[in-house]
Amino acid sequence: MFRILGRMRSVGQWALGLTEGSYWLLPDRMRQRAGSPPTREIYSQLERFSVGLIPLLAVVLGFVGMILGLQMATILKDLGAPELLPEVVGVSMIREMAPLLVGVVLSGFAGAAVAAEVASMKVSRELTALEAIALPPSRFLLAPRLIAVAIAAPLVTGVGFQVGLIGSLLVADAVLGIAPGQFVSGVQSAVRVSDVILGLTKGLFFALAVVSIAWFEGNRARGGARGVGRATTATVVHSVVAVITLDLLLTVAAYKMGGLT
Amino acid sequence: MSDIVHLTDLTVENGNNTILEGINLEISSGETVALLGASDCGKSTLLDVIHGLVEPTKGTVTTLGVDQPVLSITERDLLRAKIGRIFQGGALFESMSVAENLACILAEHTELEEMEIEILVKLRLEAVGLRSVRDLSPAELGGGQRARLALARALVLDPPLLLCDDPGSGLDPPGQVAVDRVLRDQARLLGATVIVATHRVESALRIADRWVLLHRGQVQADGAPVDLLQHPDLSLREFLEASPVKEAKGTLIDFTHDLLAKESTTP
Repeated sequence: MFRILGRMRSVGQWALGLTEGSYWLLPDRMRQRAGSPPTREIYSQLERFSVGLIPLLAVVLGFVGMILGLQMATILKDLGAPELLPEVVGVSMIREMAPLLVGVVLSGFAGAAVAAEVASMKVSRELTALEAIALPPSRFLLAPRLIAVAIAAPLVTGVGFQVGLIGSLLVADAVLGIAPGQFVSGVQSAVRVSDVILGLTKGLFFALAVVSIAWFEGNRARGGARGVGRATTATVVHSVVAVITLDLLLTVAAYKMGGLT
Repeated sequence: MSDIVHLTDLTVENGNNTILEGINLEISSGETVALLGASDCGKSTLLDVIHGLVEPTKGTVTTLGVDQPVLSITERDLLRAKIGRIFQGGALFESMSVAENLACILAEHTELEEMEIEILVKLRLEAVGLRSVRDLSPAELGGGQRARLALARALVLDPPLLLCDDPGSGLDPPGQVAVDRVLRDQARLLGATVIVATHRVESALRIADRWVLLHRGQVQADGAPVDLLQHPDLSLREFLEASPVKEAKGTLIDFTHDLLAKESTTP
């Protein structure tokens, strides 16, 4: 019972943190506290979450695209419909694989980094020092990261679509002899705008979840280096669970709205 | 002299643990007060309460004429901008350069132009002997330099109240002397009221003209150093005698002379 209450409290604290960060995105006149998130920090985080992430994401999604292509090629060949590979791979990559992997890669790459950074600042009392001179950490640290990740996530998810499909295209050409032009036409015929919107929306939600969880875990770090390590591990674990849970919820919502037909 | 800090029957609890109990304290403008006591006696928590970072469980706190907890976030921010703070270990902004540690505060709390901020930062760093390292990150500084940067950051807005938590911790004795000297000189220059939490009696002697001794979260004694060094209370004597004061083997005046002589030979 106490564990459940403890978990509920944690969820409440996470939501409070996210609200604190989002507060700085409101127009000045709607806020009691003046000021806005520092632009330089937004650019710096944007670079970290986009340019910094793309090489790793390209490798992961390129390989996953190839694996998906090979797996599907075998099944479709057995079913006597190998020409459907571009359609199957296109839809699954854009609706599911690319955003999910963006979320997972973000958990390990950005989530862990943000959590370690915030946790270090917490244990060294840097966050308290910011509060002490009326520089709210939610404005100087969290809000720039939320803004940056909200801009970067759809971009990197879009890049993920492309790289994943290129991986599948190479396999389709090599294994099934499907020409690149035929592959692209097949993908274009199967994938609708709603699929792309669903994929990009998932990427955005996953990224916001990862950064807000990293902020929350970093903020409750205690006790030096061990606390920093614990916060980093907890961020990766909780982020992956949150990404998969959100994926399910968004997929169900899209299904209910007729977006998967 | 008006009260800068006024604490009445202050108690702070954390769960079942009582950190501070029944504290009554008045600190007037221009005073330099040392909160002396062993580790975990509640010195840092008392500074946090005065700063408005920790809410008391019981009692009242008035800082710079403002009753805490203050009513609105804006009032709280205004109050905090008037208090300079040195945290134990510095709590410097490690992702910024030395100059940025000061500039970010000036940019936030003043209407100064970028050029004016740059000049002011140079002057502040000059005053604590850090101008040549302005572009380094705090991680690249030595212990003494970090302590002086923490002091420069705390004083950057010319606060009327300066709260210092063990400013020379982790430094060798000459380093501690240097930091104490810079702290005392800068605070005097700006006319700030200073409250220093420390367990080092020699440091308190160098900086403060009034000592408040804390023991297990309570005020054990409060007065001029010369009176407290002759206090009859046994636990207080134990604390003071565990410090280098005992090694001076003489009167407070002898010890102070020793200290000043050491300071004058320190490069």
